[in-house]
Amino acid sequence: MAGRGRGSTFKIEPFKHPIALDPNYADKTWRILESAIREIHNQNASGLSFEELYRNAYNMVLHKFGDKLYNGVATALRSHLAGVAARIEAAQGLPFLKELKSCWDDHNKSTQMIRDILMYMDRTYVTQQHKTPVFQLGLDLWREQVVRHPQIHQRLLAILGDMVSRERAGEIVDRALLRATTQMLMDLGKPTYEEDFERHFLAAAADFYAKEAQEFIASSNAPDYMLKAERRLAEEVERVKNYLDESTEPKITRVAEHELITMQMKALVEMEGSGLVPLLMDDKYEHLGRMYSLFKRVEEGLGLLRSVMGSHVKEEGRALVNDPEKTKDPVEYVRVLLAMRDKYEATISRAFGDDKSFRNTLNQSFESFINKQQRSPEFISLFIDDRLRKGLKGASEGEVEATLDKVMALFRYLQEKDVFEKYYKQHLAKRLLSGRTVSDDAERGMLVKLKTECGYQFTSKLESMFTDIKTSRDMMGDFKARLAQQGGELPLDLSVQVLTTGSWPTQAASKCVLPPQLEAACETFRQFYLGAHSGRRLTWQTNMGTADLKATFNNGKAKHEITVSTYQMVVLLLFNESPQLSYREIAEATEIPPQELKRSLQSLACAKGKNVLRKEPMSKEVEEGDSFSFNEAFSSKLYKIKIGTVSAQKEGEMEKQETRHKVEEDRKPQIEAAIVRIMKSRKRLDHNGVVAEVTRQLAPRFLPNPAVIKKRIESLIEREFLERDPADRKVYVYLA
Amino acid sequence: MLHQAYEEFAGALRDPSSQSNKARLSHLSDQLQARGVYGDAALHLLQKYGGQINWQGMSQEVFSSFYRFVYFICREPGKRNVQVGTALAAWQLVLCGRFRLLERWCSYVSSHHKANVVLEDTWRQVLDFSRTVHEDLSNYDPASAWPVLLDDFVEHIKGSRRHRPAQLSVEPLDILSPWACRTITAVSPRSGSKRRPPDVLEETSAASAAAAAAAAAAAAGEL
Repeated sequence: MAGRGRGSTFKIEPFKHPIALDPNYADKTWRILESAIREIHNQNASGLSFEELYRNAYNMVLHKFGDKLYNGVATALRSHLAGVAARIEAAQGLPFLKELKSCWDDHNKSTQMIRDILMYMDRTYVTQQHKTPVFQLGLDLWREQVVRHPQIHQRLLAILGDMVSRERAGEIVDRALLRATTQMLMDLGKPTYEEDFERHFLAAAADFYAKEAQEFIASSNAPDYMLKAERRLAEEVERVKNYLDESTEPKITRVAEHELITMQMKALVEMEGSGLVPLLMDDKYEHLGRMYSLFKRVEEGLGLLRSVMGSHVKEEGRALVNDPEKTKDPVEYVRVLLAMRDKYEATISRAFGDDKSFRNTLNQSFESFINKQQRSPEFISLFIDDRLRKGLKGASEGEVEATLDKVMALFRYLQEKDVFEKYYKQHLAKRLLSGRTVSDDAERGMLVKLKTECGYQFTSKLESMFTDIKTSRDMMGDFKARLAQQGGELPLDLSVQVLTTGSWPTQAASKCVLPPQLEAACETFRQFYLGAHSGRRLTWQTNMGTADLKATFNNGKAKHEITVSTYQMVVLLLFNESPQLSYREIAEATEIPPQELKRSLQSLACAKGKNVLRKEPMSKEVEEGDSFSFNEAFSSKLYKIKIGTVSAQKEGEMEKQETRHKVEEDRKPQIEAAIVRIMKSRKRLDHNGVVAEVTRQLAPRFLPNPAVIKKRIESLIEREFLERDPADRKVYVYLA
Repeated sequence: MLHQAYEEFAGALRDPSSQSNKARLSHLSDQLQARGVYGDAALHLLQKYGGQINWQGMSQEVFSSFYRFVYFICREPGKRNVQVGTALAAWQLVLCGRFRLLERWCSYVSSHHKANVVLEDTWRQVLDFSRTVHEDLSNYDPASAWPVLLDDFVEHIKGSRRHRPAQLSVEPLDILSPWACRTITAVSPRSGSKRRPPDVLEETSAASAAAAAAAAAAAAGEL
């Protein structure tokens, strides 16, 4: 076919003679169309011929009467709608909405028909002249004539508002009708929906909730309020789903959240008897959880919760650490701290969605109050000591492990970790020397924990203590073997632990006069030891040893084995010679330091059930004028009796000061080392820079005091490690 | 002789090579100490023959090196630091008219300083302190790098000021002190002393300071 078409041209000729037009053509045609439109509006379109009307409209546009047609249609629509508006206005109450709905449906239907008739105009005239298409014109006119009709608009808003508030009050309303109405507004375009309805709806909601929130808060407690608020928020979401446009949901939620939560959150949190603090105290996880999820919705909500929780924890903690009752018993003190931490940990994980920021707040609060009590490091170490001494008896290894893990959390809060280390060393030494560590594994486990937390340096000395004990054990084996070999036998069973100086908590080497038989045994050991390791020096730490004695009471009727400290042993052996001794005689014969002697005597004579000595006069304290005698009448159900010294536990005021002082002394070289390290790498640094850097470097161990740092700097200047910059006295220069 | 020693000292300080600088200083120190010029004796010498050096008329810069020289000669043989007593006397001698808080500083040091020596750093910082910190301590920055002794001093003054605020304004010179300012007239009233920033009152305050100085000098003369 393509072949046949080739070459032949096909031409369309325009009309040669324009059709002469009836001058009244336009008017006539328009009248036809106008009456048709009227019929359509009257729901009487069945008799109309679509084809004819379409052609008429087509022709009018074709003959350049588009203007007339368009304007005519607009006028016709406008006048029709004016009538409709009057009809709607006349309806009252609920029928008003129904009338509005049915008129709207009709209008839609008829506008569609009119659009169909005028399809050609829409396609050509409207697009060329940039007019509004017919259907849109219908919508615009509806909005202009009906929705924005002053009386109708007002009534519409009033009725919608009324229905919403009736529903909020629990009544059942015609949701379908509401849905239709809001749908109509949406059909008129989103701006119409927002401008003519949503804006008012949101404002009314804000009003409503502001009032309701105030009433609620005044009349109910916090948990009830939160329950109501939560329900209200859910209702609003539901409402949007039922009969509003979905774009309203975030907006109404924001409004309701603002009124119900933001405006009231302070009052809620601080509410007496049922606010955050009482809820925390009573572990009301459900309510706390609700509070968390509600407050999470609004800005600053969680911040408020956090800060109130933080200050409450601080307050509770401060009261605890400053409570003289609680600080009497270190083990109890730490136990309470642990319980408190457990409690808040549980709250955070069960009610606050395991929120990390809450955990941080908790940690900060703990850190702040634990360090308010200077003795916290000592007490924590004592607690661990207590667990490792007897903890394993009842508890399984796993439980002890878990407790120790928790204690490590407390340890992390400590700023003065070096003080802890000091005490831990002391307590560990006591455990090791008295052989009272329950489980070597548990001890090692604890050491590993400290090592992971603070590094090798922190535990190296502690580890060498363990090594000393082990070497001593081996050495005692050798010593006994050697004795057996030589055939010499000691009059008593001697067990020596050789401690490396420096690794163990040093106590001023205390002297006391040992009984001759012990002195001889010690000498034998000394020869053995120095024979094996020449060039060493042995000092006897009589304040750290223990002795087992066999004693007979009641004229030989009662036999007991008593375990005492070395000092006590020395004292008791004196009574082999004479039945009664004064304090002064004992002091002279033994040369034990007075404080230690008093302590030893106190536990020998004053402890109930263990009073192997009798004191004159009877009292709890030992005075210099007292005299002592052997208690013949002593009796006990047990064969073995352990007499502890009244000490071990909490430190006295004097010892505390001494430990403090030691810690301060130990810090000096550490601070100096830090300064030199920093200056060596920086060469020049100003004073504040040095202080900040030193503080940062030492933070894992302790918080150095700026004045102390300054003193160290002065000392370093004096020793020519540093000098001041001649040009700027605040800047230090490192001298290589 | 002291004058020559001072010239040598100042020369050594200007020496750019730190090694020869040190060598010269230690040589000088040995020389002086061999002749018995150290500690209180050196100070007496300085007081007696100070006229040759005329430190009162020195500019700030020159005085700085002279000030260090004073510390240098006041050390006991073999020691690096100066005894507190000597240092106090030296301050009263050379800082007189250059440090408005001198009397209070000296009385503070003599009653509160626990160590028995004054470190060189402290000595040098005192001059800086006298030059940069206002008499009323208003621009004193505790976070700045002042020696601890100066920190404590300021703390002490501020503490006592809280108790008796009225007495602060005029501090009469302690003319009964053994090292009282006998040469004060030679000192320009404005040299080295730190007052509040010069505002409108500068003229009159300088004038009244001069008047006070004159009065003090007169009193000293009568003694």
